[in-house]
Amino acid sequence: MKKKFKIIIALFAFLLLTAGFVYNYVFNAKHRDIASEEATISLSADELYLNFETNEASATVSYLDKVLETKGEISSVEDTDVVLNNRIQVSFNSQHNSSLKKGDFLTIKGRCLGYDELLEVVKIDQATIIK
Amino acid sequence: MKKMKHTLSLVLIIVSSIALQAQNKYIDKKGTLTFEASEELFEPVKATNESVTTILNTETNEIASLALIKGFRFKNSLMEEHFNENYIESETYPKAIFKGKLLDFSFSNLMENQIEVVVDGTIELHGKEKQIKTTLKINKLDDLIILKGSFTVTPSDFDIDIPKVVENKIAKNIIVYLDFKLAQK
Repeated sequence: MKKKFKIIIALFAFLLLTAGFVYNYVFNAKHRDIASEEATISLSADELYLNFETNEASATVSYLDKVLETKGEISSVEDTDVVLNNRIQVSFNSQHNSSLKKGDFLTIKGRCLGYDELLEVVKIDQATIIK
Repeated sequence: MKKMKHTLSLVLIIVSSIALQAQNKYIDKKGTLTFEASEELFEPVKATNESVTTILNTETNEIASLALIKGFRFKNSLMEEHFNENYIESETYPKAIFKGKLLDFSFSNLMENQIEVVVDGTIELHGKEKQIKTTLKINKLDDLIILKGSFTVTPSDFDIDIPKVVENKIAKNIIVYLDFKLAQK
């Protein structure tokens, strides 16, 4: 009798624990932390743009949602964004260093969002400055 | 006298063509679009995109807006994953585009106080097109044109299947809120 009771308690505790884990997984799963991920692809700002311009569908498959490292010359600084080579619009993870200015060369790492045909730019978000 | 008239009209033509070139384009590169499909008692189904592009031509009143789907951020990362992979299929259809017109709108009459404007156009999303007509609020603040408002769509408008299991947790009507601040380019 006592043994049976113990088994039931153990089973109940196990179920509760599993439920807790499932709940935590479903509702509190962490977002990707792009800043701590390694860049899987590295290419110049011009190369990146050219790939989207020549074949958007295949570039989307290759780069969408991937962590990229890219380098270019800052062609404009707007609030929290910078544009590299007039072609890559980069949004930073946090407030970026305000010392960034037009004409500087910059290497960043960020997540590729895809091609914006209205502005004719490739967008990158959650970026961090490499150098 | 006649020659002077000629010169004058020539000057006028040049001046007006320069004025035309002086751009009637207003652009927002970082507009906000939020959609909400929450049902009471269930976890909110809501996502925001803070890098929406909008271009308004104040000469023709044509307006175009583009949101990259991957730019929609949910509070719940698993929901974001399901949204991208199962529902909207962002790898295949990476963007949502609206193209339309502001009806009976005159830019020169636009003032600081908010007025209503009817926008009519087409949204392309998930490989499908859907006509949208909605009333938005517009005003001018310093050099910015501010456009705000909302409209409603349904998943079936764009052939997006919602599985039976989650049917109760996702609202039939999805409200889309927009907030654009356009600056002259």
